[in-house]
Amino acid sequence: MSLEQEMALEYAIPPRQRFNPLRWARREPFGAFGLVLIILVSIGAGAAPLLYTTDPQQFGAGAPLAGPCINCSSSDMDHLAYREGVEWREHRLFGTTPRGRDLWSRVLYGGRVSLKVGVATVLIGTMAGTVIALLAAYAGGVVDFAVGRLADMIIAIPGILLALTLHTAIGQDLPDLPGLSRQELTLVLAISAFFMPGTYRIMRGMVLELRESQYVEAAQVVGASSLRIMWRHITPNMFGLMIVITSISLPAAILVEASLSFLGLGVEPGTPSWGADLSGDSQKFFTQGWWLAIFPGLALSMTVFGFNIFGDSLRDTLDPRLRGRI
Amino acid sequence: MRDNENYWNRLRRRPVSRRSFLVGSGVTAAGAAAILAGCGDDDDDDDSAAPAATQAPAATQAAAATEAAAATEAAAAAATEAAAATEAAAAVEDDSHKRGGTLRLWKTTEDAGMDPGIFHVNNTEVIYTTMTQPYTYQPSKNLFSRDGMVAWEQVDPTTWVWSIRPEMKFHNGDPVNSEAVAFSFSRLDDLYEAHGATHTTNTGWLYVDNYEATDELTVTEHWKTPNADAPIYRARHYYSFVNPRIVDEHGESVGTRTLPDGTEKEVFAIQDLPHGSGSGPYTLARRDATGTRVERWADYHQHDPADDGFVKDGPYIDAWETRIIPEAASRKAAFLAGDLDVYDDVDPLELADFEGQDHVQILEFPAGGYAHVGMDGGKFHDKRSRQALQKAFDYEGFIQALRPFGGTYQGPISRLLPQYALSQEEITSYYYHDPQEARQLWEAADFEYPVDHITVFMGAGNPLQLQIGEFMAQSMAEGLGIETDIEAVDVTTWAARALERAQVKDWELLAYGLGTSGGTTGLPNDSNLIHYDPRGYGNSAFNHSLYEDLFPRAEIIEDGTSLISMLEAQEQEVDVEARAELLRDIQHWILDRHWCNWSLPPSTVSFYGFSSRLQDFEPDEWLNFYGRRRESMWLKEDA
Repeated sequence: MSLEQEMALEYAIPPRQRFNPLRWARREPFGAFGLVLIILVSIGAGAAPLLYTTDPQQFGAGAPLAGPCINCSSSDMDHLAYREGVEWREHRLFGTTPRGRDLWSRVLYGGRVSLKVGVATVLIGTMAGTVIALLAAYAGGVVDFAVGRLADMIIAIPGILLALTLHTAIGQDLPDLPGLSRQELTLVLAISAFFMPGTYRIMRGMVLELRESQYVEAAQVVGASSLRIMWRHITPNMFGLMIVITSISLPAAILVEASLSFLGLGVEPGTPSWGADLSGDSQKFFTQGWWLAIFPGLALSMTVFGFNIFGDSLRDTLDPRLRGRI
Repeated sequence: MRDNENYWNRLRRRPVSRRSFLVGSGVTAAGAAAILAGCGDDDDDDDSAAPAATQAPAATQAAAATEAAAATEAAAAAATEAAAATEAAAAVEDDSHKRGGTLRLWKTTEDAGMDPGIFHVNNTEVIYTTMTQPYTYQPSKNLFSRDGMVAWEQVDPTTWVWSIRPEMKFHNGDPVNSEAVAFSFSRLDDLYEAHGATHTTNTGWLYVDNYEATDELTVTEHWKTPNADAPIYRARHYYSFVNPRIVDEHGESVGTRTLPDGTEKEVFAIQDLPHGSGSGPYTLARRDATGTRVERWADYHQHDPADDGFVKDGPYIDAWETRIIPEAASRKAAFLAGDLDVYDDVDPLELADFEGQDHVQILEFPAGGYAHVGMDGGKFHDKRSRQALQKAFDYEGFIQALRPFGGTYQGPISRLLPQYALSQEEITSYYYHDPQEARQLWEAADFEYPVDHITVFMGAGNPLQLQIGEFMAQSMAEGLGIETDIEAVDVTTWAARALERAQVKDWELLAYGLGTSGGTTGLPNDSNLIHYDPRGYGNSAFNHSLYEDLFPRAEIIEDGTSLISMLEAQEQEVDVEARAELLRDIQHWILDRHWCNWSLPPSTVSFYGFSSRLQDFEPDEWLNFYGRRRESMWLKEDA
């Protein structure tokens, strides 16, 4: 074998392996499990109009405070004996609320709010944080210093308090958008502001590292403009970290949305929301209706858990250097 | 090599990873959820006994109370008789075992002020215990008990003479005399004039012309007109005796009022209740973000003889502690744990939670509360628009969904005053659900300000309040085919925006009241009518700016003026039969015009929880605040 052949063999770029989901699932079984949970929740939320049993906001759709039951009849409703002769629905997969709303339908529709707000929040928060980090860290100097201190100040404010304040401050003035009500938009912006500084701080470190890399220096030497360097040479190398941050931030965003809704600052009263459904009547009637807290709580936990373990696996897959570190 | 890279090998090499932690947490959470689910109750249990588990209802005798409201002399005689009976009983009773203890109550938020002459929520416990009123009134017994006054006499239809209890002192040692009492009563009108429209109980003194300190212990009132409600109104907390020196030295200016001669008079309030303000059995020991505490005052005057509800040597209970607990589930938990002595407004669906709890008692009462919807008069100045709103509402659906133990239609006067209230048939001839008629009326109505969207505005905090608002919004959307939304804000913001002086409000419908509480004072105003009164809540809920110089609307001023004259006429009518006729006419007038507000069906019954250790507390009176002045209450510590 000639020297050229040997060198060609040694430095040859191996053919890119086609992504095999089954192999990935075997390597990352918990990540795969998380993905399954996410898919299930997404299907439930997306197909809510097909899967629901009654309008989730309809009062008296079922007997008040009736437990989960399949093929049950009004005779099962001993505690509602004062309403003899009234026939109720036969299926209550997750039971009903004290005002007779169907909890199964509410949990399905509640997933829409959580996912919608979670995804929109993370997209806005991550993208804005990344862009600001890219511009500030690449520019350096006073700009970097000023933006950095501003981020420090925002981070110093407790997250929920920041979201609460912003929610109250901007909530009245926003419009309804297609697919995003005024209240949802308020949540998205308030929670995004909560995540943006954290994203900025992580991405800034990445930009500082990349800015000093040899290929950026080479680009500078050949006269590439700053915008071109940022767009063509730095940004693509940040995608992996962006995806990891997104996967980690999303469950946190869902939890913040649930917290704000729990505090009564989320979506419009009555709109199905896991956080809102965990407060109010769910607390007051928990001893009589365990299902009021369990099902929205499980849905929320499953979603957050799914995103967490999926994000963790994604991080391992995209950045093998971080494997195994807590 | 590849086999060594599988997950399980890596897991063995890495006993504690973030993922392991997450998985462990998830499994633990799922296990905990399963255990909780297993421990929970389910609907297979027989809950049908829940209503039976509650104790027998103590029927409210509002009717009797109201019938006799104007008969002041009879009431005074009853008080004297009761005093004699109590005196005899007290002479033989050893009551040492009743003394001591702390009564534990709750409220949702801090008070906004403690001046008894200014209307505020969440302050009555402190005012009733630290202040002295002329007397107390128990509606269920139609009984007046002497407190600060030992006698009173209506010498003619417009003259009332008070005799003050001798040797009373304010907490700082100042004497309680006729000058102080006349000052206390006359400042009510000053406060009302200077403090604006927030005081809605002004009908309790507007008929009074002046108060005269006749001698050291006698005050004579001269009225402009007779007033049928006066005897009962004088038992309220705003008739408290306030120390003029404290107001002078520590009062904060709340504005000025213009006197008849054109001069401006600055008016002062004692919102922080400085020491020495009152002369009641307790003094304010603590008032902060966690609640309030009042403690026994050692120099409290004797009640000798003591009327019903009073004890010669002062109250049995040593202290009252009121904790701020905003959240309903926490209040319930505290009550069930034995940390609270009163748990108001039990939801019928939670009765089962109290079964088998020996330390609590749940009492059932006919519900006398209200759930109201105010309409912005600026937008709904045309009667047809208001009529459309009321016909779009699904009353039966509302009862079905939100009144689990039944609901009752309510007119402008509560059914708890049957001698005045309209029948269910009369009310339902106005309040019925007819979406078709509603849409026709809506189309025909004149809207100076186009209404293409209805916002139902309410205070946040109580899930049932939100649900009432939600139902209202749904009903309007379905009935009128109009876009609706709900806006729930904190109570302070809610009140500010409800009262905002504007040509049109930034809401269309104002939802307030749950319609689940019980009781009545026996007065029509207290029993719903005030919500239609342009001088009271009807003013704010409708849009008070429209009656005033700011944004006058001719048709509203005309209707409002007519209603006020009718209301004044009934207040002045002391003959019960004649007054009942006037009140019926007023109610039909209100319903014919679909005036300003409408009443959603309240619950038929209400439930209240009390700790078993609370004795001699007259449950009916608790529903009307008067029981909180009951000094003969005591705490049975072994209960």
